[in-house]
Amino acid sequence: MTTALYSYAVLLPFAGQDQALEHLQGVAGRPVHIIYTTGLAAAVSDVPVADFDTEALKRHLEDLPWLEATARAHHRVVEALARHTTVLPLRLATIHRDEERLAALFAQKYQAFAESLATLAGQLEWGVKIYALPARQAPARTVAPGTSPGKAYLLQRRAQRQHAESTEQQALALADRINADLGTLVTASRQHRPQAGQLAEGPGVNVANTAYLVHREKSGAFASLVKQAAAAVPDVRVELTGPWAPYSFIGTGEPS
Amino acid sequence: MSHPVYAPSAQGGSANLADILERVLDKGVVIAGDIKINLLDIELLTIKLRLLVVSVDKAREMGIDWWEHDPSLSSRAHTSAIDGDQERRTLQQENQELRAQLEGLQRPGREGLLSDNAEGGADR
Repeated sequence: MTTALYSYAVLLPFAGQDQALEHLQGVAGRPVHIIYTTGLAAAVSDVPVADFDTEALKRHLEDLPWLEATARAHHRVVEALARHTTVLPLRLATIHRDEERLAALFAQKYQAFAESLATLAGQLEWGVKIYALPARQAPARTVAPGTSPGKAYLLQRRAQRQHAESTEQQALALADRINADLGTLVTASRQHRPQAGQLAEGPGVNVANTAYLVHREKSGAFASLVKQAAAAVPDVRVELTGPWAPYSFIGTGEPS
Repeated sequence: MSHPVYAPSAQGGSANLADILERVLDKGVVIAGDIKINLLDIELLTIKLRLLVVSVDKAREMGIDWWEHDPSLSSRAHTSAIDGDQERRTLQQENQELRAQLEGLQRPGREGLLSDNAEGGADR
């Protein structure tokens, strides 16, 4: 079997990493091992070229179950490593021909990687998604006696629409308030696109989808504050996810 | 509201797929790989996943060369120099067809299929 190297993350080597990786299953069910390059380490798997060359990837990316399995495996490895050390997750399907190619590219990036790892030490990423819940029942309107059924219907529709709009505004206002209240609790934040469509789970319209970089020691306070702010607003759902490896806080450093 | 978790291990494999995809496809360090992934555009992928109709085939554009040109790795390497032009023409044609299909889907009447995602994404 011809293999290539699939890389998950750049990391600082840590004590006990062999045990940490021992039972870990990477993409394509492959074991994960560490490659050492100049001062840093990379977590990699040997993957069959037949499944990760252009043709195969093109096919696989059309295939949601494959994409899901691969994305989850990638994430699983990154997450397992992040429990022990500072990691820089690499984008899905970063593939190199062999160790020499990988080491050469990492050597070029050593400075940037080392700086990012230093900046991100002890930091966790949290996701906060804010949803406006669908109008369960627009506030009941008392319709004047004698109003025609058509007019009553239109009045009802208008009330529903206004209710939905005000719920979205409340949700957006909550997002702003949470941002302001968090203040110095967070190191940085990034806006993600609100989620929509088939993969967006749960009820409501996602109006804000923010990633926060928070120091490990401040994470408890961060979560409490988000929960408290959320509890105070009706018809809004707040979903807190994490902690994640700092996926959203590496790279160019530009707010997205 | 979901239950917040505090321990780094608490999330496990249960994280929702949309959250994972937006991170592993759209974020993360991009380094030059032997297969380039930068064109794996999450937004197009998401649109496609929603529609499950149009094949927005971004993977086709991945800037791959070594698999195709290294004879030890690909049987196609022997023929690709000859077939290269032919193949490019075929790809261009297919690309045009896909664009036409996509435009068709975006016309009034079908607009709702795309607008949530495209506009929702652009607004923020």
